[in-house]
Amino acid sequence: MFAFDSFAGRHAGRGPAAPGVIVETRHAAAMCDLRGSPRNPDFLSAAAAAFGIALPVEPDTAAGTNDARVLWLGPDEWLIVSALPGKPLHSARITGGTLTDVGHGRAILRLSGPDARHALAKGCPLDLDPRRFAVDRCAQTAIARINVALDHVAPGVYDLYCPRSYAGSFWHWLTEAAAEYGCRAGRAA
Amino acid sequence: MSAQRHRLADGGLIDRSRPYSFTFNSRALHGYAGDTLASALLANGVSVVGRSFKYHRRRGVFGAGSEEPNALVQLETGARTEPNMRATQVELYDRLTAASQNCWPSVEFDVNALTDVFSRFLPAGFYYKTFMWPRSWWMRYEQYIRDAGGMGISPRTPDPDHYAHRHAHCDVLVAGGGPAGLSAALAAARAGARVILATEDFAWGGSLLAERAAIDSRPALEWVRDTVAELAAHPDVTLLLRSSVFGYFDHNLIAIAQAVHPHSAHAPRQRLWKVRARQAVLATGAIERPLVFADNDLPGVMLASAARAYLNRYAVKPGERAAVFTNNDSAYATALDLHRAGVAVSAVMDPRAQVTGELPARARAAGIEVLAAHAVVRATGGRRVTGVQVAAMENGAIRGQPRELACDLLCVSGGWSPAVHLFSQSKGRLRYDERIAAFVPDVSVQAERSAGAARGSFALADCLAEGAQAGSAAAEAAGLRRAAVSVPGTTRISEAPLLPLWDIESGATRTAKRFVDLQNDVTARDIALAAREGYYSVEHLKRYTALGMGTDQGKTSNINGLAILAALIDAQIPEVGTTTFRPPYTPVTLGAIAGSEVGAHFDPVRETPMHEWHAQAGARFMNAGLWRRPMFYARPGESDLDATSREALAVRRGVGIVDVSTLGKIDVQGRDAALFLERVYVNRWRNLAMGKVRYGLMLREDGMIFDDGTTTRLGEQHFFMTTSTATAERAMSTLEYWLQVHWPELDVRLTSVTDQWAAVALAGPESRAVLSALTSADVSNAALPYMGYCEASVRGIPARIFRISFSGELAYEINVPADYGLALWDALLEAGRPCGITPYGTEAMTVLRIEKGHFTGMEMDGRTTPGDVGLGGLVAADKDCIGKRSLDRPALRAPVRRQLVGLVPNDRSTIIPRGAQLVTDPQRALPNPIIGHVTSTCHSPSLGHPIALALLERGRERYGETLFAMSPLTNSAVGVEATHHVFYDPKGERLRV
Repeated sequence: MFAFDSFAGRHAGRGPAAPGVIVETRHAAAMCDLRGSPRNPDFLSAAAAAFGIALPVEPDTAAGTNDARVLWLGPDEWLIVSALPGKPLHSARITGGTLTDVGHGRAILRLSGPDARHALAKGCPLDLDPRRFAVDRCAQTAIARINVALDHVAPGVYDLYCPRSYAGSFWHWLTEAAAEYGCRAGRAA
Repeated sequence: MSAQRHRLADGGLIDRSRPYSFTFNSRALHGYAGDTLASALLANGVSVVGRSFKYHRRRGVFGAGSEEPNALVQLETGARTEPNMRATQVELYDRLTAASQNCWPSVEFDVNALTDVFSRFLPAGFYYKTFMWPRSWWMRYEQYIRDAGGMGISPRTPDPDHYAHRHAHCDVLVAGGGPAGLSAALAAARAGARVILATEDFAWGGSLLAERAAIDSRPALEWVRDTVAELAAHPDVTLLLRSSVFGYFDHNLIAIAQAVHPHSAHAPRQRLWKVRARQAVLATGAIERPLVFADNDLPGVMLASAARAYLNRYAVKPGERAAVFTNNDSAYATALDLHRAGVAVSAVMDPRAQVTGELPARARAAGIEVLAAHAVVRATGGRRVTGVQVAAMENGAIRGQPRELACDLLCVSGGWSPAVHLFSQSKGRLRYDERIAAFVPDVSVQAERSAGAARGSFALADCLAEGAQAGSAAAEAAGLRRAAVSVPGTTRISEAPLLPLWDIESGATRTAKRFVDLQNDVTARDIALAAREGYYSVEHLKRYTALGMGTDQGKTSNINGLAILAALIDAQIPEVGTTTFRPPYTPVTLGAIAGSEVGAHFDPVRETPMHEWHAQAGARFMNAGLWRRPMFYARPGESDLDATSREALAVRRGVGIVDVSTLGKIDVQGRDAALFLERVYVNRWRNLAMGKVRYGLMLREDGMIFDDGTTTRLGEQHFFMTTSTATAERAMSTLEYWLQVHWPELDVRLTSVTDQWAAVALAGPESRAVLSALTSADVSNAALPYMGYCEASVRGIPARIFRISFSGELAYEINVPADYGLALWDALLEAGRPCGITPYGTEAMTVLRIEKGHFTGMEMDGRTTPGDVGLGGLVAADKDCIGKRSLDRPALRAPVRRQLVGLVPNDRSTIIPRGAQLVTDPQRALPNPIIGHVTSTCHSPSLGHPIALALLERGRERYGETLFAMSPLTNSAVGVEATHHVFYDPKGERLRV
């Protein structure tokens, strides 16, 4: 249902055999904004128990796996992402915390391929060198003047969380930026 | 193939196995890969390349790089044409097309060359003095002056190429690909730094490309090749050819314009790099200065270093018989290379009384005549130089009669000026160095250091050593380990000091044109005139004479110009100072600056989940901030107004739906949520019952209305707030600011959920019937009264239903998670089909709200208080809120404030002009006192006549008065009657059914 999906396809460049950039849409089963104090041990343990992941408290870091991921968004704010269906995250009860369902508010794009970083660098002002922006680092930044959260999930693989209403614009920008490297776009398996 | 008659049989860095053909002024010519357009033109014997800016004098190639003032060409034609391209930097490619600029009908015969004949009537400031009156003719003069002067022609059609931006980060950025830059990059790379090395050239080596130097007892270019190979093998080194480091901004943000080559279908034409460098090394080299003597602009007069580049790098003989005029040793290398290449060297004129350096000694040994204490006072010739007039000098002045010396090439060198542009842009302070008669970097402000010729160290050995040290020090300053610095060996050539020589004037050449700025046709006499007229400051001099303006920004002329000014006003050169160096170092095409932010990407676009439906239904969209919202869905043959009226009436009489997903939505949670709302809204919130909606009004600190909207109590500690579409982001950040900065003690968490929810307003007397068909929930007036709220499943979709109304009719606003927005929309349309459900856009929504007297951003213009819009009573007396105290300011309580009223045209038919000013007497002489203004206006299909909202002084006391809405835009005055601002259903009975 995301606006992205209607644009899926091949977008020029080196050809399908060896695209420099692969853009895939991802559909999270659930996404929640979690608020609470990192100085409250009850809250931290409740959150860890509910999601199975200790909340990252270091700024701009993420934790978890492909199936369940937590992104630090602020000193008292996290984005909880679950790829597994069936668990309505926002109905969880977390001592000292509040949850807001944002599962429909953000579109997720997964970017990979040898030139993913170069395509991103056309609009992203952050230093994406893997020594500076290592795996499990995340950031909120403006790419092509659109606020996105960027999560380095695996070596050279980035998840981009884009506000849903901007998704079409962002998709166009990203696939255009990636075209010179050869870009394959589609839906994640 | 036409003969390249000035091409040497061998040597040079051109690839003779790759011949290119190109056209210049429609002539078919040939060159080689590795040529610039300038070198190819010279190889073909083209000496006149263009006409000058003001006097339309013939000009030839003067330099060999970015300093070129003369050889500016119009490159290519049509949409890809580029004006003012320096032929000295245009890398030749096959089928290149270029033409001369600023000449008509041809470069050989140019009508405007007459200006040269009348030039004694065209001194500096001529235009300012002559075209002052009559004032009404200014623009007419402008038109002709623009045509007569000026540069190339901008493309007139959209650019077919695209451009990209690129952010980059590095430890050490090195600007300049010559010996100092390469050394610096190598040292930094060996220390483990992330390095970006950029050169504006299309080959590495800088000055080494034009010289015949040796490094480590091998040809210098072998060292260049090995160094580049080592750098290229470093994974952390980025090598950028054809990349002009053009701007140095705060916090070591450095901008580079890269021409992407070779050009492919998907690659951008140019890439603008925005580099955050921890440290920068400026190895930007130096620019040779011309000498100022009569007719020094003739084609065939050339910088000595440029002549050397054409010989050694491009294997082009720039002349058959050369003369050299220099005040320093460096040009002797050119004389030697010319001699070696078989060009006859008539003589080297050197104003120094004793010429003692090593290079002059070699020249003498090679049999080249060296005329010490001599100067060239004039170049002679027509289409190109055919000789020079040489005179003896004594104590810095011309003595005796000049004699003539034949030559078709005059190589000049007035010394070297370090290219301190980037250093100066970084706000570093310059120092005048008497030794080289030029400004050098002195005190750094940002994290940079200069090396080599860029800081006045011209010897190759110094360039290599300083580069290596700078690279190593920069890497260390960037936090990397200190690495041992190795400097390759070179032979040092001893040099004698130069003799500063700024304006060579003999009695005979006093009135001749001695050009200082070739690009802008500024002569030494122009500078003298400006000084006489009081333009002592270099900045004033620049603007009065155009010295140092134009595309080259005075790269060859600045130091000469200010030295001449200094002599005229009896000041020292450092006292006179330089003009400000501003980015860009060389011109950057606007396409590169815009990057991808053109066309559809000029701004991002926000679309609602139902956008595709709207588009397919033929909606005309409007921009609401970044959002695209449907204005109306016109049927074939229907006018905009008809469509709007049809949609509005459908809501009044039946049922309509409108996409309101764009409203700002904020989830408010926490123990202190109700208290927070009391502080940010003027009205009461603690007493709002669960499942109830309330209208709220927010003020700015100055008491003016900030925003309004509804907030619903979802739980004891859980509220759902909406804001205007336009205010959504500002409201969220303002509320976060209050929480984080002023009220950190409150337990409140805000989350923007604007994009989470799709929202549809279902409005009209039939709306309940439609909704009932889709949900088993009880949505009757008793179960879900006006300002009530419930959660229900609507056609299986989990929904939040708010009984609120903007239209003034029975209405429900339904929110569903965004993925379900389209499904909800479709379900409502289907369920409403029997009632003739009508989708409506923002225009009908506006009509409905004006009929109801609801105010929006048009009225909340930052100057209205709650009292002004009739909501003074909403401000709770027994609690405080943001802006409340300001409401007690006398001006905000003044009775003459403009108040919200309605207007109806007296004739019941004329539309009241938007933005019209309200007066009591349209005939009154100006200034006619204005007592109000029209804020919103429309034709009301329900009432059958036009209506408007207005803000009017003492408005509530004026109901029934006749006023005039005057619009200077439509030049009309409409008689109107002031009324209450609620036109339709003033008691609100239709809401509560």
